[in-house]
Parts: sequence; C-alpha cells; structure tokens
Amino acid sequence: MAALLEADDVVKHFPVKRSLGEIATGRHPAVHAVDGISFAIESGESVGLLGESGCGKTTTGRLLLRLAVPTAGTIRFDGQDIGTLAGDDLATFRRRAQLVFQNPFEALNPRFTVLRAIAEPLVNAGVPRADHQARVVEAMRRVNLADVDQHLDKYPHQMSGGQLQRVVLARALVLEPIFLVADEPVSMLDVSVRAGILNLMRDVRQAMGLTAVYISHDLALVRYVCDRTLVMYLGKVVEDGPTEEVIRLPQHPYTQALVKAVPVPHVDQSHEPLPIKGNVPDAKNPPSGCRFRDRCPHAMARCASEEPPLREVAPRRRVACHLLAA
Amino acid sequence: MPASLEPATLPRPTPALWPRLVRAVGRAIARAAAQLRRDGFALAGVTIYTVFAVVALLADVLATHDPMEILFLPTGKLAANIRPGADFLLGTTNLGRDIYSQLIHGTRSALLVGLSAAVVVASLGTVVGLVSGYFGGRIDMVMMRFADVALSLPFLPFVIVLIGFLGASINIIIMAVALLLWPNTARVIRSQVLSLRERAYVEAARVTGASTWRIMFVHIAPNILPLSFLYGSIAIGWAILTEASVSFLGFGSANVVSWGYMLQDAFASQALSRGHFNWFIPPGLCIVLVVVAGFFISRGYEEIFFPKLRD
Amino acid sequence: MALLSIRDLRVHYRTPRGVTRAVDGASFEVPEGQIVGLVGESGCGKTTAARAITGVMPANARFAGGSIAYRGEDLLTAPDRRVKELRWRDIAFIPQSAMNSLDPVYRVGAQLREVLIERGGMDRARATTRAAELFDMVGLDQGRLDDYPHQFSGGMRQRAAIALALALNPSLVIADEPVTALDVIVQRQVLDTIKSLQRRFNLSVILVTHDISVVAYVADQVVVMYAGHVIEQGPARAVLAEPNHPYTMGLYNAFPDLTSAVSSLVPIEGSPPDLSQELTGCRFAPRCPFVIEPCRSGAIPDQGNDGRSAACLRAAEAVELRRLARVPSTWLHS
Repeated sequence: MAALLEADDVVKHFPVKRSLGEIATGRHPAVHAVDGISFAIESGESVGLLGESGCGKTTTGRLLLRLAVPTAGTIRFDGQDIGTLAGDDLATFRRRAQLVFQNPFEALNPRFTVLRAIAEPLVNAGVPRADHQARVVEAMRRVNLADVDQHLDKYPHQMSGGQLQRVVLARALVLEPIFLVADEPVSMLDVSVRAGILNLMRDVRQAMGLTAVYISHDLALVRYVCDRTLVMYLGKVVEDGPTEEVIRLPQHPYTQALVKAVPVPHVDQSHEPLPIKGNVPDAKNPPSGCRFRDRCPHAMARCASEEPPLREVAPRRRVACHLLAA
Repeated sequence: MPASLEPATLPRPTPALWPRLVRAVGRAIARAAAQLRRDGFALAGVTIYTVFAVVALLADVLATHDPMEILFLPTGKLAANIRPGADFLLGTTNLGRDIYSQLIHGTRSALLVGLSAAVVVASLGTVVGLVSGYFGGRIDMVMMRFADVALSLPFLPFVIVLIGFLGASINIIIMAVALLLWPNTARVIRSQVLSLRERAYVEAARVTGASTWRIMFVHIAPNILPLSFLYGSIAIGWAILTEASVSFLGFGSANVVSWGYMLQDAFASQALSRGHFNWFIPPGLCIVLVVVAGFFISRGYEEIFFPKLRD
Repeated sequence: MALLSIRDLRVHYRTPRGVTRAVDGASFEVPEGQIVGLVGESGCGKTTAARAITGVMPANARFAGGSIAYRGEDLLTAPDRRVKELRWRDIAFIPQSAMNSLDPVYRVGAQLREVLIERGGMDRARATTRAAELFDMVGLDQGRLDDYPHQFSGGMRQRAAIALALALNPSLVIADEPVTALDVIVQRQVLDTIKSLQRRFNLSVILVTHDISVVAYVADQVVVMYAGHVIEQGPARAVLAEPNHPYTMGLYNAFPDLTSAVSSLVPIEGSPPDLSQELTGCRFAPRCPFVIEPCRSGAIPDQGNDGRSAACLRAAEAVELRRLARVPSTWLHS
C-alpha cells in the first residue's frame, strides 16, 4: 500500500526572545519543538502520536495540516510537498485534510449556529449554497446527532460538551476528507461522554476509510483507537510500532516508564517506583546524544556522545535506543 | 450508539440572506434593550442622546428665529439683552440674536461633529486594529508607530495649529479629533484581535480553507464590534468637547452656530459679569449633558463586555 | 469518631438563571488517617463540597443547610475568627493549579518562610530550617528554595504547593484535582509523594478528582457524587471492585483500561440534569438502564451496611445488575 503521508526529517524550531548576552554573542536560541522526525503513514492507517506535554506532538499535528511550516525537512501528502502548496492546490489539500480540536467549547464560533458552523467548510470550498443544508444534515447523521431539526439552529452555549464535539467532528467530515488529525479529542470531556465520542470516531473512520492521526498523552485512549503508535520525547520519535506491541513489550526505556505510569482503575495495582527520575529537560537546550539519557536508568557513556537513530528492530517496529543496537 | 432510524428530515430551504440579517439585527437590538433595562445609567444616556437627536433633526421646526439674524422689536429698537419671556424663550444676546434658536441649532452642529468624529474614529480604529493585530509583523510595527506619534501630540494645540493652517471649519475639527483619537481604539482592538486570532475556532476556519478576508471580517470582526461602539461613544463626547473648546477660544468657524460659539460670544460680551445667566448656562449645560450621556452609554457597554463588573 | 463529618450539606449558587443547587444534601465522613477520594464528573458538586470545608467560597455561594463537623465542631456555625484559625493550621488546601497558591513575584522559599513566621509563630532561623525540611519532605532539592515559581516545572510547583499546605502540620488536607494538570509520569510521582506523606504523618486527605484510576491508586475510601448528591460511598477496594450503584458501574465501562483486553468502551447516554430545576427522585434515573417506576419520584434512601452505602432502590440486586452492566447492549437506550 502506498504511503499517504511521508514526513522526512522534519524540524520545527520556534525562536524565542534573545537575552542581551545572546545578542552579544550572536546566538539565536530556539525551542526545538520538533527535531528531525521521519515517518510514513499508509492510507487507511490510524496512528497515535503519544507523548507528554512539550514533546512536540501538537506541533507535529499542526505541521501535518500545514498550520505551521517546517524549519527544515519535507512533508508529502499524496506525493506532493505540502510546504510548497499554493492557490488551488492548497485549497484542495484543505478539503482533504481536516482537524478535530481538543476543546469543543472553544473550537466553535460562539456566534454561529450549528448549521452555520458545519456549513462553514462548504462556504470556503465554494460548494453551491443550495447544497449546504443537505450536506450538513448528512454530516450530522454521520456523527449521530439525531434530531437534526432540534439542533440546527442552536448556538454552542446551548449544547453539552459531548454534543459540541459531535458538531466539531461533523464540521471536519462535511467535506468528506481523506485525512484527519485529532488533537486530544476527548480530554476536555467527562468520562461518561468520552466513550461515546471515541466509539464514534472509530466507527466513522472505518465507515469512511479515513487515515487518521490521534494526538494524545493518554496511552489507554491511543490503544483504543489506533493501530499504530509513535512515542515522542522532546521533539524526537523514540519508538514506533503496532499499538498492542508497544504497550505489551515497550522497548525504549521511556516508553517502559510511560506504560508503567498509566493509572488503571483497579485497587490491586503495582505501587513500585517508576524506573525514571527527574523532569523533562528544557527544549531550548536538549541534552547531547540521546535526549532521554539523564533520566534513563540504563544510560551509558555512548548515550551522551552519540544520538541513537530510530532504527528498525523488527518488522514495522522502530526504536531509538543504543541498548537495542545489535 | 443510538443510531437514529427515524425518517430523514426534509431539508429545509436555506433561509435567504435578508430575513436572516433582519433577524440578527433584531436580536442585537433586543439584547441591547435588555441590557438597558438592567442599567439605569445607560438608559439615561440613551434617553439624553435620543432627545438631542430629535431636537437636531427638527431644529428648523423648533427654532423660533434664524439664529444669526439680528432682531428688532416692533418699536424698531434693537432687541438686545432681553430677558427670557414668551417672545424670546431664553432671551437675546447683546446683538439681538435669539438664544433659544441658537441653542437648538447648536445641537445640530454638536451632534454633527460628535457623530461624524465617532464614525471616523471607530471605523479607522477598527480597521487599523484588525489589520495590525491579525497580520502582525512589519505592518503592525508601522501602524503602531503611527499610533504612538498621534498619541504623543498635544490635543488642543494640534487642533488649533491645524485650523491655523487649513482654516476654521467644522470638517477640520472633525478630522483633527479623528486623527488624534483613532489610536486608542486601534490599540484596544488590536490587543483583542491578538487574542481572538489564536482562538481554536479561528484556527478551525483556517483549516477549512477560509480566506484571510473571511477570517478577519466574518470570524473576528463581529466579536470586536461592541468595542468599536464603545470607543465611538466615548469619541462623541470628546469631539463635542473639543469643538466647544476650540470655538470658545475663538478659533471656531464664524458662520456656524455651536454651543462653544455661544459661550465664546457670551464670554466676549461679559455676560457673566452682567449676570446674563440665560446666555451661558443653557449651552454649558447641554455640553455637560451630551458628554456625560456618552460616558453613561460606554459604561453600560463595558458591563456587557466585562461581565465581572456586574454585582 | 471521624475527623470530619459532613451531614446533609447544601450549597447553592445564585446565577443569572436562578439558583443552582450545586450540593444538594450530601453526607459523608473522613476518618482519621485515611485518604478519601471524592469522585464525580464536572458539575457534580465535588469541588463545591470540598471548598465548603475550607470556608473559601465564591461570593454568590450560599450555605442552605447541613453541617460540617470538624472534631465535633460545626464549621458552618462557628465564628469567622475560629474558622480562619483552623484554616491552614488544621485544614489545609492544595489547589488544582499550584500557581494559585504561589505568588509569582516572590521566591518559593520566602513564601514558605512567611507562612511559618506569620501563621506558625516561628522565628526566622527556625522557619528557614523548617522550610528546608519541608522541601526535603516533598522531594524538592533544598537548593531550589531561592527559585521563583516560574523556574519550577509543573510537577515541582505542585510539590511546592504541597509543602506550603503541610507547613503548619495540618490534620486534614483537601486536594482539589492535585494531579489533573500533570503528565502521567509526574502525576504518578506526585501521587506517590502524597501517599507517603499521608502515611508518615497520619494525615486525613480529601482528594477531589474526576479520575477513578487516581482514586484506585491512592484512596482508602471513596465517595461518588452525581448531580449534587452522594450516590455511593465506602471502602475504595469494595466500591471499585463491586460497585452497587448503576452510575458507578457505568463509569467503569466508560473508562479506558490499559490492563484489560480491548473490548469496547460503553458511554452512559444523556447528560446530568440541570441543577437549577426542581428535581425529584433519583437524579440518575433518566440515564439509568435499570430504572424502575419508583426511582422517578420520592426520596431515594441510602442502602447498605459495613460502612458502604449506595443511593439506589435496587442496591439489593447489585450482583445481578453488575452482571448486566458488563454487557454493552444494556447501556444502549432504545
């Protein structure tokens, strides 16, 4: 199967305000949000971008949708470098790639009714006005917003979080995209509502044959909706593999700690201390070599001098760790 | 999932633009009216403006004389310094002009100055704030430096110098007020836009391919319009005050009757020391009323904007 | 006797739309030396109930009844002076965002010392030693005492907030979502710190959270709230393993669990009732798959024994209901 999306050594640095000393010495400090990541996503795959805050997962998602432009490297969507898209090509890309937001309470214009909100992409794509209503209704059915008539003229503040997230999803689906990025799509929702949205996203993805990237800090969630998971740490992908395998047999020491730290709703669970210490280092000055080395229980001299490449350790399984270098 | 198996809802015809627009305006008015009911100050402000607006519109009907005409008594004597009465409601000036009619016509020029300046200030400030805040970068930099310069000019001296160069006219005063007041509006709107453009729903519009124009005017502008109105209503008071000050200082236009002109006229002919209260109290009171009304209304707006001020 | 005993607590908020009964007759106890997990979804009243104990409430809140007895003394009727005295010294608070308890313009160590001197009556030298000791206790490096809050990471700030709360040796600590804003690894470390301090000083802790896995990890007792009511409570082990209230059962199905086989998550359809309306009967009834006619009217008495109770008319059939609740189709409304 052909890759729908290919990221090739993508880098994104955000410049920060320079101090007087830095201006004097001519240095340009930057937050290394994404620091050289490569992966390919096949058509129809659902991939989780997993990591803690500041690991670069949200920036990666924005890069994939061209809401930000990489500092270096290229991202190809259906063979085209999205960094160079303009005019009609960009408009086409915007129709085919959509985003589902984290906070449904903010993702909708408070002055727009549900009808207007979902019709907005149609307006922007130049779909004739006469077709809007029918397509909005169809998108609403797709996300199980039953009782279309009851909802069409509502404003966001008149709806619950779960309903709003359905509206956000309907808006993303109304142009029938082929690629979807969902940034923490349920983290703002209550547990009892969360499950419904996750089920819906799973069903919709299958029904429409979408390729999807889920950005999340929550391993349990990623496991529920993703076939494959990329674990990110401080701007790097440290592990990549089928979700079940990553959870069952994590290879990178960071992933191992992450899997261990995930809380489970049972009283009988391991309370042993995590095999990891300290905090995530400053993304302005990442450590030399392996970025995880100063928190890693297995760190060796080589980890400081040489950066471990993300290499294939088994079919469809990549890990960036010197421990696994045969 | 409760997949709904009900029969498909019949697509309703998309409502035409006009009825929707009318409904939206209706809703906005209803909201403003609801706010007025709660806020006595704003209600007072609106009432004062309404009264003055009616007076300005009907000035020709309400005025009993031509405000600039020198009047004579039936006896042929100059009708100078006459006390208020049935013939001359507020008396006459020392040159025999009817004070009441001057006041009525002064309302017209005051509101003309105030409203035109407000419209220019609000629209200039809004457009600059929007563009500056949304695009940022160099455009923002240049526009904000212009704003800094405008803010650093001393108000009255600038107006007087401008009049000295371009001649005294109401249009020049309106222009001067607008030139000096737009930066306040622009700055506030710019900072609001800076936060609005980062909102998730604005980003959402961008992802769905909305044009820059559409994002600015459809998604961001409606949220800042109340702020534009707020600064516009403050500008009304400022403009009227400025026109009055300039006229009082004797730099006003000689052929337009305004409240400031009346005050200057009264001052020059020593009405105060002669005890002709009927000459200078009415225009002074009108100025105070209009300016205060502007601030009352802006206060009401503020409460809509910053709900935390309530209670 | 319980350290803290809340009886029929009612807290109402005045809002533009009327009165919202955020807590509407909640009763529970906090035994000495135990962690009580107060769980529920947004708007269930858990935060309001916890804040009511500290006495720090928004201006539009009103106590509409009930009592909060701390060592037998009702905090709601006690004079303000007395409540202020108890606050921090006996009853301490850890907020969700540590930035709310740390002042950004002062060094963290200085803030700690100020509390020790002003509220604890210590002299400078004693306060300085104690501040260092507190940092040590919560797992912060003493060298960081001279840092400003912005130089701390999220986890470190939360630790500093814990140090601040524990400064005066309180008996009761109320923690409002203390780890919600933290990443999983840091979350786990902070929870470990809370747990070990609680054991070491025999603290009583009320841990407010929306996350049942956090409760499962640290709590001894659990109190489940729904729409202003306590709907189930008891020892954490018993309640989490064998819930007696359908809502608690439903929460379990909706919660993604890394340790179980991927089956499917089952949502609870519908949403909680509007608390500004007059409500009768069981508040969960409109969403409950096991609802029977009597649920919709009248009061629902707490049923249970052995320190457990559930506000459910069918609590006696819990074994059978639990079996049914595990079947996803049970939760699909027709």
